Amino acid sequence: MNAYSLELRVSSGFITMPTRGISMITVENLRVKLGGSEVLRGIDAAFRGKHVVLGPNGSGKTTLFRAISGLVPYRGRIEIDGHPLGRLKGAVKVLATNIAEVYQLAPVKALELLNLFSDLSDADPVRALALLEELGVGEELLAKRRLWELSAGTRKAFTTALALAVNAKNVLLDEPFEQLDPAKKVKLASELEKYSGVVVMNTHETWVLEALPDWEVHLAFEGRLYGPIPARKLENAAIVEGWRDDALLTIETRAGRFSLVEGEGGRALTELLTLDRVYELLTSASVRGSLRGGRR
Amino acid sequence: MTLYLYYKLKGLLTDRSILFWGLVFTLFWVLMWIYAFTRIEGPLPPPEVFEEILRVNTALALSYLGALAMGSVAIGLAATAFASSSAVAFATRFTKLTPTKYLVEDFMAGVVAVVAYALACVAMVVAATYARFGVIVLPESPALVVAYLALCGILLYWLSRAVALAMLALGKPRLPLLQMLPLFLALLNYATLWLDLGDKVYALPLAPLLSLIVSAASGVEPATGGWLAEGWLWRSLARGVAPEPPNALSAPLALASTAAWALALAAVSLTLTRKVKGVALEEFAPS
Repeated sequence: MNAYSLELRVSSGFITMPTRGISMITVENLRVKLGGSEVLRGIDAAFRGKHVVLGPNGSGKTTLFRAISGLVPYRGRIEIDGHPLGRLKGAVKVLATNIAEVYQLAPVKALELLNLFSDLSDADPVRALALLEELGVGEELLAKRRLWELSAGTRKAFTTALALAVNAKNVLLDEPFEQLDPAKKVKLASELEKYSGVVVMNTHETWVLEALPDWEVHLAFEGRLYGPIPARKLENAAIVEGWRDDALLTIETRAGRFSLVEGEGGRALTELLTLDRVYELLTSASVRGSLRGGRR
Repeated sequence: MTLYLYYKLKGLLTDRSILFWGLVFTLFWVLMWIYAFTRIEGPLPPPEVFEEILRVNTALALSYLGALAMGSVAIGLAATAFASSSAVAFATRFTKLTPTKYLVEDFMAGVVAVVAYALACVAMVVAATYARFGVIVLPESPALVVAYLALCGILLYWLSRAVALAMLALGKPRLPLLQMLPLFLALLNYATLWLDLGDKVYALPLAPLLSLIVSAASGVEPATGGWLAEGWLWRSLARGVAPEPPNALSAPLALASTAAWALALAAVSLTLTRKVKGVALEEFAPS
């Protein structure tokens, strides 16, 4: 890995702090409480390379990204490229994300926001617009509407393209495939494959296991993170109720315990399409039988 | 001008909600003031006296209705400060927009926007006066009027910021009454047209400045309030003598009061900025 300089803003002014380092995000015992309930319950993870956080809705995936982006109060430790999150100021090209609120700097049209954010983060606006074009979002639409006036899918494409155009060392992508048609999903997946920095993406869709077999996968359930496991292994894994000695992972949920296993029995993970169905499988008497294969 | 300053200012000057409250709402009250509240009874006084009366009337209108315009814009400032809080938290960490740069440029954009809407109100008052009476009445000391409006802008900027950050610190994103505070303040000041607070006026943010604006725009001595109470102002003007308010306002004390309020609100705002650091802003940002 190449050494690089990370510019930090401290109270005495700008300093350039040379850091030998590899791009990575680490979190230790990360806990986040929102509205009185604990959304993240002690997460430990090191993201280096390409990672997928796969989990059902409400599992804390987005909150994890928001905590890493410095948008929610947290307990525990978050480091980006070896630097505590709290000390990072003016750290251009260190982290980019597609979380929409991050782009609402001024109440102007989306295209102006794209120019503004490109200017502030040294992003390549031409690359962002080219990617948006590939995702079916034209410049004309962006020139007419404000960010919150765009449809949810267009807004997501806009923020994802902009996050990638920053060419930051670390990128967090929250549900980047949401509301894209299959052809555009494939296009975006190929962009993500080509990206040279750390990419951490979250989703609840299991098709990514086949599309991105070389990525590391963390499973998120009820504020906890399990893994990582190579996507290739999970591609053929099945869900069984209870636990098994040879399980790749065993996960505790409020609806019950289940394991991911390779080989015979259970229900193929990719067959679920979305991990939201795990709860349905664990709680519905009619389909629960398909998860036989583990010990309770 | 940096892109952030340019876009922030452009956003504030083109935001539909701010345009409505800062221009349409204000225009309604300007028209009410000139066409409904301004009554000429009896024979018209000599032209020079009439022009002086119109000058004072215009000064009162642009000052106190300007306060309503500025208060409305300040609500918009609070709303945008609130909605962009997550973006600012991220941008000051991971882009070239450092906290100092953000504070300076946001402050400049906010003050310029408030003054711009106040000047639009001045133009509306002058135009409406001309439309009804056929006389163009311009402020006596335009530069001083603009300077006092800028001070109003500074005061209201810090007030709106303190309000937005207080809502974030309280974790109450939708407190309409708190968000409306700048407009309530403007309305409270509006009441001093009839109510003379005496020396207590120095304790009320904005009120002393509005009196100084009236004075700068009309040339009459500033009052601590009660401009329209008991008819002292109009009686003096009709007689062709310089009006003497029952309680004169001290300009140095008025400026000191404004400075104290601005500093106090800036201090509260900056303290709250630190306090709300890391609050779950995404819960409050509009989707």
